Amino acid sequence: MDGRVNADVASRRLERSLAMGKSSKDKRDIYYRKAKEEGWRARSAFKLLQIDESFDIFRGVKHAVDLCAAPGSWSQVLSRKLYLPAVRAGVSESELPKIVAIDLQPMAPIEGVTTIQGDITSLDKVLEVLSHFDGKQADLIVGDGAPDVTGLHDLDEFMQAQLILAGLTVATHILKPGGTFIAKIFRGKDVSLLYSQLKIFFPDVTCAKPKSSRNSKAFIVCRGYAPPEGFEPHHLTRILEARATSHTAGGEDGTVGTMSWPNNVLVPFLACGDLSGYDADQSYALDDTKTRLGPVQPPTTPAYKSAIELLKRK
Amino acid sequence: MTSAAYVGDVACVDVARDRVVAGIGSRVLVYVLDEKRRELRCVDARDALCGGARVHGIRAMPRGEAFAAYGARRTTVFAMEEVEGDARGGWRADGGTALPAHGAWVHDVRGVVEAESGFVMTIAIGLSDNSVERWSRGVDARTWTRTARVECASRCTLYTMALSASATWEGMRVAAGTIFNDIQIWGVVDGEVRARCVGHEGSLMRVRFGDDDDAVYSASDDRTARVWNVSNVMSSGYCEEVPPCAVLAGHVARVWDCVRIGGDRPVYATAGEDCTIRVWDVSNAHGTMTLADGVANQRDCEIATLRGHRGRGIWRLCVIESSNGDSFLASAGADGSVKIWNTNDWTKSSGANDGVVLRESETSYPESAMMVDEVEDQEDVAMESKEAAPKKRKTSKRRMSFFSADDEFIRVVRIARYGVLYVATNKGYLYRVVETSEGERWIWERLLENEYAIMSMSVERTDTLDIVSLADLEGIIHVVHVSQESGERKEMISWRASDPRVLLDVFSTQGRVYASIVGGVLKCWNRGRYSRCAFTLVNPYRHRILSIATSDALHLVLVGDQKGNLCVYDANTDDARELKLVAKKWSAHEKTSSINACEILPGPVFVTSGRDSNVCRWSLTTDGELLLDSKWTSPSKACVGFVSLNANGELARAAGFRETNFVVYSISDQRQMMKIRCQAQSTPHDVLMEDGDRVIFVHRQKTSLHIITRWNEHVNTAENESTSLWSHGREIHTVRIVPPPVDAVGAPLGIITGSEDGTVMRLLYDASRRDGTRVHSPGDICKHPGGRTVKAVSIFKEDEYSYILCAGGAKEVLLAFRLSWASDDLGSWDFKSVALIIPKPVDKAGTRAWTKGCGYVEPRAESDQRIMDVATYSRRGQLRVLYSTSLGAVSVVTMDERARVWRDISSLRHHACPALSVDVLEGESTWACSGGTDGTIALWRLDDSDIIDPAYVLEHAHQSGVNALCITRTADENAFIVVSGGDDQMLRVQEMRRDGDGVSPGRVGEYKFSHSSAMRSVWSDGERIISTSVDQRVKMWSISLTKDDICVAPTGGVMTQAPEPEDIDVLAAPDGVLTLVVAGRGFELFHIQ
Ligand SMILES: C[S@@+](CC[C@H](N)C(=O)[O-])C[C@H]1O[C@@H](n2cnc3c(N)ncnc32)[C@H](O)[C@@H]1O
Repeated sequence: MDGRVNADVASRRLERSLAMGKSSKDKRDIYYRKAKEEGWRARSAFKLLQIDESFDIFRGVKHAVDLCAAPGSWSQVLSRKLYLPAVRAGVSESELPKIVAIDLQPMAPIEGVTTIQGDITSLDKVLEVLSHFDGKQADLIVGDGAPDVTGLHDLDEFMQAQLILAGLTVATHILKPGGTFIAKIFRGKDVSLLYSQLKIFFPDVTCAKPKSSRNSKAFIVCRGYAPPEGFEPHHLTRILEARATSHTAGGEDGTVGTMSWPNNVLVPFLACGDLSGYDADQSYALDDTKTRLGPVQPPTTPAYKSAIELLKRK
Repeated sequence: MTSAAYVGDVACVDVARDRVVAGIGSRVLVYVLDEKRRELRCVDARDALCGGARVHGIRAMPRGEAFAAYGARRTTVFAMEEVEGDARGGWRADGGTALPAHGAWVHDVRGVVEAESGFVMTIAIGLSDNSVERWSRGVDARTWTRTARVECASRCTLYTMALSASATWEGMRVAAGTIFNDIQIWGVVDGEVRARCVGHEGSLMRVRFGDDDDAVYSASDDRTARVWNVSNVMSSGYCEEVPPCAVLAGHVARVWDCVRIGGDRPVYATAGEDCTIRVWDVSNAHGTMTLADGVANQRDCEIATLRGHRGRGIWRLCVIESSNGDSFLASAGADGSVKIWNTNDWTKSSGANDGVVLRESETSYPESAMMVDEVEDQEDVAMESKEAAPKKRKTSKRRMSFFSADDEFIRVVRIARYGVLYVATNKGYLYRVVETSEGERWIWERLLENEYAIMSMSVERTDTLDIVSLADLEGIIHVVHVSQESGERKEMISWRASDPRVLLDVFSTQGRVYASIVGGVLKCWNRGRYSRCAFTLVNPYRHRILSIATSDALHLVLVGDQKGNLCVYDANTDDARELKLVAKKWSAHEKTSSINACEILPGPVFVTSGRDSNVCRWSLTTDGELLLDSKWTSPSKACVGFVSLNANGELARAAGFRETNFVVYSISDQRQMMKIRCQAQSTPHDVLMEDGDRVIFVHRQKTSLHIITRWNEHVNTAENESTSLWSHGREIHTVRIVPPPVDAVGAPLGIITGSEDGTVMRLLYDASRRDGTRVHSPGDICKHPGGRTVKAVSIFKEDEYSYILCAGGAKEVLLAFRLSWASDDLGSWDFKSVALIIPKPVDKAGTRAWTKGCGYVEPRAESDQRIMDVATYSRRGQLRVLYSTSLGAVSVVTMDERARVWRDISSLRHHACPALSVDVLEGESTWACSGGTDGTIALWRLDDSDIIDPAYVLEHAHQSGVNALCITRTADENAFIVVSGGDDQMLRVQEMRRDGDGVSPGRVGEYKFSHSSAMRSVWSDGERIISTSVDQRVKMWSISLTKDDICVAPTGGVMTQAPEPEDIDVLAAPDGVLTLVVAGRGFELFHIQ
């Protein structure tokens, strides 16, 4: 675009963008290096730490569950925040915090964390998670699960919601009243129903999201677990379904929320931190002036590996 | 607010009785297959699901009395009502009865043949929590009751599930695709899993039962589709493990669907994310077990690849059997189209001659002719051969294989017309090869025996003659006239055109013969006056001239060379020997790729096609510059060697090589017509793309010629304007309405969309048309020169008939086009676009650099920023463009239309984070606002100074990014308002009061929970606001100014069918009716009274 190269405007802009580029670069640099240095398996560890900064989620927490944990950076956070301090404080074996992590993918062991491989939406696996607690109750349940994205965006949103509801199932079994549940959400078309369903169990629900990311992914922070009176875990499906029915019945033709929102879905929004990792609206050049850093997260084998091999063989 | 049209992903397609029913958004469109014209006609449109749920499946009931549309948690059953007085026994869907919302996602619906007693209809509904429910309809047609629910013993969430056809509820079987990569087969009687189909290595995306229910077809994340035999599993008392009986691997992305299309032949079609449909004959793949064992012969298994869809992929396939026995495949694409493919090639047994779409024949050098010529040949060889000794033995060998590659071989082949070819060989022989009238054999006749090898040939047709021009190694041109009727050689003229061995090509068109000579020289002779060279021209770049076009009316000659350079010459020379160069363009095609074909159209418009797979249109400025008006890139990524234009001068087809495949692409219906594997690109070949539907391709295969004729029988609906719902197939980031001229009676609205796929598209919207066909005439205006995202567009009105379109996107590329409305002879209005500025992006970042886990990356150069938003305004009658970028730059530029570049005007300095949105308010002083990801809104007074500092900054107006901004006037002349919508779900109205040259904030109005998700776009006229958000709702608000603050109150809203809406545009008609367009994944139009 030669027309744009009006020399001084360009150079001024360059100066500014350099100044800016530097700061944003440094930010990424810091977090990347920090993840490396501090030995986190994935940068998403900082997301949980950031949520902690805003919500102080670990206060008074002893036992915890990490749903959809692989490769395990959130479990690492749990281990370091809950388990290791207790070990250092000389807490006896039986009194040590219990941390259970589950994922579809296998996970390398983490100190003080029991890992399970399985689908959290399958009832058998939920029961297996529970079995590790033998009677104890958890104070914190976190879930960073993300389903396979198909591109059929309503199906993706539904599957994401299924993971959250699976988390809620676990919560209804073992979350201590007053406990906290944190999960990744997709702020799509039916998020209001999800808010409304979560509000049955948690009086305090907040949507938290890094400021600069334009992604519709965010985290839902639900505090003060208080199931309805006389609630039994096996009521869950029925209660959720009833809420779904009444939610859609609220608006003509299920267009709930086109005039204003019913009170039970109003969830405050909180911009927390700035740790989106990088800005999706920008393309970046690989920085080859410095030595290339290895991946933080080891690549998993893609599902189509064999298919590619078959093609090669042709 | 009423919805008028929606264009978006077609998530499903199926056949209900004789109709094709497609699910688009929340609606179903019903099509009739016109068997003669082989196209789909939309006859009906129905709202199917409420609450913005998308239709993911259609299922006809076993007796054809109804069909179900389902998706998300919803199912609606439509009864088919006979249309009275319709001789063809037509039917119409009723208004539909919606079942209550289900507790989980509906994956499949099946009608049970025998309804439950006491009910008139019974259906089974398969749900994502691995359960099946039975619902029955009473005599009262409107009420449905759930009468049973069976849960599988294995409880988990499914991405896909299929129910088998069954006469009774008890006989119903379920195939459930789990995220553990297996398929569970269970029956509704007890919910016990009877079989697990294992072998897939990725999540299951689709499972289907075959027609006989003995087979299950599956499509998966692992890029394969598989076929399983489950005929006997229900009888066994335990859970059996079933291996696949076929593995179909070849897709290069995830596979979304798999159907069987062959009757007796095991032919399957699969479709997926790579936008291809692949056709497989698994008879070769039978007996193979799992991927680990390897599949014996994969390649033979795949028999065709059908291309034509674009965007995110093909969601669904269905087979249509027409009443006359033809079979078709319908594909439902993310690009909003339903395409119909003829599958007779694979389903009809050979011998059926009617309706063939592909004919292949082969012909070798005739042996009898070889015998006769033997003696002469010997002599010829003897004369030429330098080695005398082994001569005899060689000759005797030649007798055996006269046409072997190391001896005589075909050098050039040209197709004169269907059934007639001309073949020239290295021995200097010219043959006329004609197909016998029965079409069984080809006859070779030798027309010419020349002394030297023939290097190039061109065939021109007159009414009665084929005029064959040949160039030989000696530099001699021979023109042979052949009677079309008798095939006799009538006349032959030869003359020396150049020194030996420098004559490269001969072309003949419009009664002239041209010779392309080494060094970029082109000589021309007029027919019948070969004694005198009519003119010469020299390519200033000195490269070999490969293509030529002339226009007698315009007196122009256009040539393209081997290195992508383009030259135009003035042919208006009576006796001047050398033509004058009018214009030249160095490297007109990228990366010095050759220009293989060119054309001159009235205008003049020059069309060139090159090896870089682009077809470009150029125009000539008065100062002799060639300007690129548009560029079309072959989706097949083939080098474009041939193009054909239709009667209107529009591109109809393009053809060329991609590696060793020859590909013919039909541009009008966006479809690859054929792909033929050749041995090498350099083998002699020719293609003839006739006006009608026929394409003939011929190429040499060893010692024979392979002739392929394809009729364009793979019709798809994009051809038919009533069903041409057609979109990017990717997220639309931006949309604008182009108003028609006020005096244009009955003119449609223009719609411009810019998308993630890097294209800017245009469509027309005609409110007076039948529902389902209101959006029509889609087309690409341009592709982002770097092939990257188009983020924002803005239109600027020049006058009633003309607008300037500015589109911004990745790599800080800003494009400009002129859109002009015009009506044709029939009084129908349309607009055309002409490129004004297409900058070349400099890709300083190299490749797309962010790769997961590769560490941090930094923007290396300024041009790595992308334009986030664009607004246009006029200053003293001149266009100004305001845009913001992802590095926080906000700039004003203007267009230099002569030089076709942008000129910088001002740089607006404030944001230190991506600037997401901008808007402008024109007036005696022009005000603008911009919003950043940090929630800050800056206000600017635009006065054309080099550097502008904000007039005011609203810090932390939002908690998070300011996604949407609109600046507008109010009743108060000394104030204006800024409406902003944030990522934080808040709608904010800020009054700004003017004092002198500055502004200060006035009253504020806020609505905290305006949407339940991030807001994306707002529009306001000072009294009302229309907003949209990722929550898929469009809401209207009223603004009322009170003494101390501003009151924002909701006044209405709807759910839109367009998921993830990103942008809206509103057009106010003089009568007060608003037309609103909302775009996201697809776009929807509303009328607001
Ligand atoms: C973004 S990663 C989690 C990262 C993790 N929090 C960390 O910090 O390392 C999402 C994970 O969700 C898991 N997942 C998705 N669906 C699941 C399901 N149904 N059950 C269990 N895990 C699931 C995936 O296997 C994936 O590892």
